[in-house]
Amino acid sequence: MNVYKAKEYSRRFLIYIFLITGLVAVLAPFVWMLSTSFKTHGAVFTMPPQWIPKPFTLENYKKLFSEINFLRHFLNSLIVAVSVTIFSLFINSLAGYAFAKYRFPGRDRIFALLLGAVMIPGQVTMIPVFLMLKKLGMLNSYLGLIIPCSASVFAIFLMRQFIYSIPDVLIESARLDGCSEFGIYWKIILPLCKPVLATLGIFTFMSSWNDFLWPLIVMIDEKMYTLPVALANLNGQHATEYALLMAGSVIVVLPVIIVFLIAQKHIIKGIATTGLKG
Amino acid sequence: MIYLVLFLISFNLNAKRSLTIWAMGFEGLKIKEMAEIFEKENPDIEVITQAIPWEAAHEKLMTAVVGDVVPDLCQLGTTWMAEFQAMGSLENLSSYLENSDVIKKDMFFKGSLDTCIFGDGIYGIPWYVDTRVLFYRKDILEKVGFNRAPETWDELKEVTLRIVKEFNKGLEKQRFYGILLPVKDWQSICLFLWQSGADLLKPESKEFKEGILFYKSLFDLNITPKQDIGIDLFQGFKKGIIPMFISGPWMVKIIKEQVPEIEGKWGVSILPGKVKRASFVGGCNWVIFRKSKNKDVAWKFIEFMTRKENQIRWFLITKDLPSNRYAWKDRIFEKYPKIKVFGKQLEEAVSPPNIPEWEKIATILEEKLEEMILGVKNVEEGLKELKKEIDKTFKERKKKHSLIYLLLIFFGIVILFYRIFSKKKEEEEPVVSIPYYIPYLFILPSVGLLFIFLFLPVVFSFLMSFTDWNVYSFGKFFNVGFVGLKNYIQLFKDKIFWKAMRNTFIFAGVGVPLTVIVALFMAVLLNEEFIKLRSFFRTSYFIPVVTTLVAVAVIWRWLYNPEYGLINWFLGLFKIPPQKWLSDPRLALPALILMSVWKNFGYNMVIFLAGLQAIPNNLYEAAKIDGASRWQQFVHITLPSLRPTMLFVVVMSFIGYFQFFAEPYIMTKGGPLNSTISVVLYMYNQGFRFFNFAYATSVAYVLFFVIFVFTLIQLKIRREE
Repeated sequence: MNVYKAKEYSRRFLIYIFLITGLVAVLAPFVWMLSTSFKTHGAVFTMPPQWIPKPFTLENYKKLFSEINFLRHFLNSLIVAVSVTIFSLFINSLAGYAFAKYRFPGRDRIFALLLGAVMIPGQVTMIPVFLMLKKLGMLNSYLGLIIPCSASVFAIFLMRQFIYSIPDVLIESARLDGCSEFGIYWKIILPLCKPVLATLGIFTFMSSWNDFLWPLIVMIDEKMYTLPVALANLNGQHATEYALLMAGSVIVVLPVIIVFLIAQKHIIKGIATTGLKG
Repeated sequence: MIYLVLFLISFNLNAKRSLTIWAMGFEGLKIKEMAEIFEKENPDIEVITQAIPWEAAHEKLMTAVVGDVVPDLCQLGTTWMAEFQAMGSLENLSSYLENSDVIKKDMFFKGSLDTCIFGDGIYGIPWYVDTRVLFYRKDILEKVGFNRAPETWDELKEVTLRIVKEFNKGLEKQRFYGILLPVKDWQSICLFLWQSGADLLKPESKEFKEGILFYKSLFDLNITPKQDIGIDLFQGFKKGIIPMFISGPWMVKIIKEQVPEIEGKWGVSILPGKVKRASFVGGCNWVIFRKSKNKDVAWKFIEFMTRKENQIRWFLITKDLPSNRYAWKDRIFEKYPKIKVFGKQLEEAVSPPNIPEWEKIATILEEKLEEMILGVKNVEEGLKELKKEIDKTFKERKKKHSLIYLLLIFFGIVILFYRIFSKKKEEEEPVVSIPYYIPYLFILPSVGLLFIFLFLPVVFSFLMSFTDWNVYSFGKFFNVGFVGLKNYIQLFKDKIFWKAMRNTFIFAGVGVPLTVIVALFMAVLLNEEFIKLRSFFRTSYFIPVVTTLVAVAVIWRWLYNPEYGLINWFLGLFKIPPQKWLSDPRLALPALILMSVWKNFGYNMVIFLAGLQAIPNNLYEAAKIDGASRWQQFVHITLPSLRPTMLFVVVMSFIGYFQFFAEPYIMTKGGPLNSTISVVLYMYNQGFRFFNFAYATSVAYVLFFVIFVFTLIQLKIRREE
């Protein structure tokens, strides 16, 4: 029995070793990023690597906000991500509600067409949408990032599935009480959708915050760059100033990580059940 | 009263005219000083300058033109003139020039003004000129018996061979070289092509081949290093490791600043030559964009910058060579004997072909040159391919004009859709009590946007992939010609596309299994009942997933740094020699794959964890009673139960990995030797750097087709099981 126990303990020990190795491999780059961001330009190039920056400096962050205007990029990202999230939750849940609870000619056909379109990768539409935005005068503007990215087949689908499970009785009794159709959606359906809206909202925010290719194409004026584009640009211009680059990375990464840590239960549950991805 | 004053002040502020100027790199920073002087002379004008980094300048200008956010006045490299002129974005300055008392045509070097002339029009005014000369260490050349710089190719070869022989004597590994030349730089090879008398657009000529062979021989004889020797130019020049190199006027100043120790031991000279001692004439012109609203003010600024005293002032600030020939006669140049050599070299300087396709041809030339020097291709083969590419580029100029085919295809699509969707006849009965339009109103915002930004573009881009739409026919839709399957055929012959395809397949083929295995492994470990802090581990592993890909790529570029990166340091602990992760063609793609696995496994792990938790425990208990080992339990219970999860994970990962873009865009730009270029990156380059819209859409459709087929195959396999 002791032999069995010893074997079991060594097995557990081994598993913990694996898990901790994984943990170090996953977190070390972040720690390294954070540490480098507080180093002076000279201290970056020391070997063996310093984990605790000596001397400790905030110079890189100051430079980001004074010379490179990261505050503006931060605000750009925030404006875009928040607008996309709110707008997207609204229009997609509205459509999801209509698809779930109304019967109307063409409903299933339109829905099938939408599902078919999921197969098409974004790259195919990129060029025409770029040209269209130019014609609409939306290049180089927030609208150019918000409008085309808000409607999502996946979000409609998810909302429809969720709203489908809400009993019809609730809607019908509201209708009898004289509630308008929009009122039903606004006052009855939306409050019931809170969990799915939360998950979807967090994901929409994250994917909008992290998006790179589309803002890179739409935003032409440097002032309008979102954080990821500004960081990529910084990477091109200050390729060897690693301390500065790492400080920029911290600013890009930190908000999403914070949002994630706050909402991680929702997110992990959402992924485990639906497989949705930012 | 106060309001009135405020109003007047604001009116006054508005009355001040503004002039926006874009300039690149160093000039972009320094132009501010000139702008201040200009503002003093013209108090009613406010100058706004923006500095643009050279690496991004081409893309930036192209997108600015396409997106109509151009500045009034812009610095434009001489080699880019043709392209932007052909796009119709530049203002013809002929009439300005005729009416000017400040600027006359004969003020400029002929070769330099040539870069502005297209047909009868003059589309730019030379700002500063630039040429290349030979920088050499006098003392080192003297040691091998040369008391002057080499004047001919033979002399160049002779002196460098002597240096290499003399200085490496007794050394185990070669340390000293003769001359530094880039492996991949069209400007550098062009010097030698002009010197041998070649026409740059005729790679089939004898002279062209001679130029290439001579250039290559300098590498083959180890006179010039093929790889980065890991030392910066100035230290190399100081230590005599690189006793000669070819560079421009800016270098005179920088050498003085960087390595003042060798002052007096180095000199500059006109380039050696064969038929002629030719060099390159480049530099930058001022251009006014057609869309500018302040053309007269912009012209005023050009006049200001061209004036003799300001040309000299600018020279003193930046050491940019004056384009105004009268400025060269100023006594100030007696103080700069080295710079005067450049003046002499300018007499024999030539400019590259003034055609819009030159940038593209130059890129091809660079690529072929690199392949020939590294020995991937032999010279004959390389030149033949170059010729083919050049011919192809010129053929693209001729266009067919027929939109009727496009209309036919369009109606074809419409009919197809109609047939598919008219088959089913299951009308839904609307709820009577509410207006029939309510549900349509509800789906309108979302579905309407999807229609505009998804369905229309899909159909539109499909149509466009059969045309020759590019940046030259950008605003003129009716100039677009139908070319049938030409883009697709060209694509299938396009070696870089296939390379991109191959890379993408390797990336997905290696990355997906690796991610899935790591994710499954970690999920199984985490699923053990005794694990404490499970949600802590799970959350930590998930952090890379939510992290911005751009930031991840920037961080990893730093981790992969060959000298100071964490990864080489870590390997060093195990006595593994440092690797050049991102600049070694063999390692770059694996390095990107490793990073992606790191970033993505957590996502799949969470899905697997959910799948694992759904497996009923009694299955395992029954197996234990039957005496099954843990491995047997894993193979016979866990894996089969996870099959639906597995399918989902694999399909989704494949789709994600097929679209890989940001990693190579940020970390390697697709290099080295295109070893990390992906299909999406290639599409981006074609579409948004070269603005070959039609070609880029065909790339996107081929990618779509591949993803589609892959997904179908995987679903089919699943169904058969």
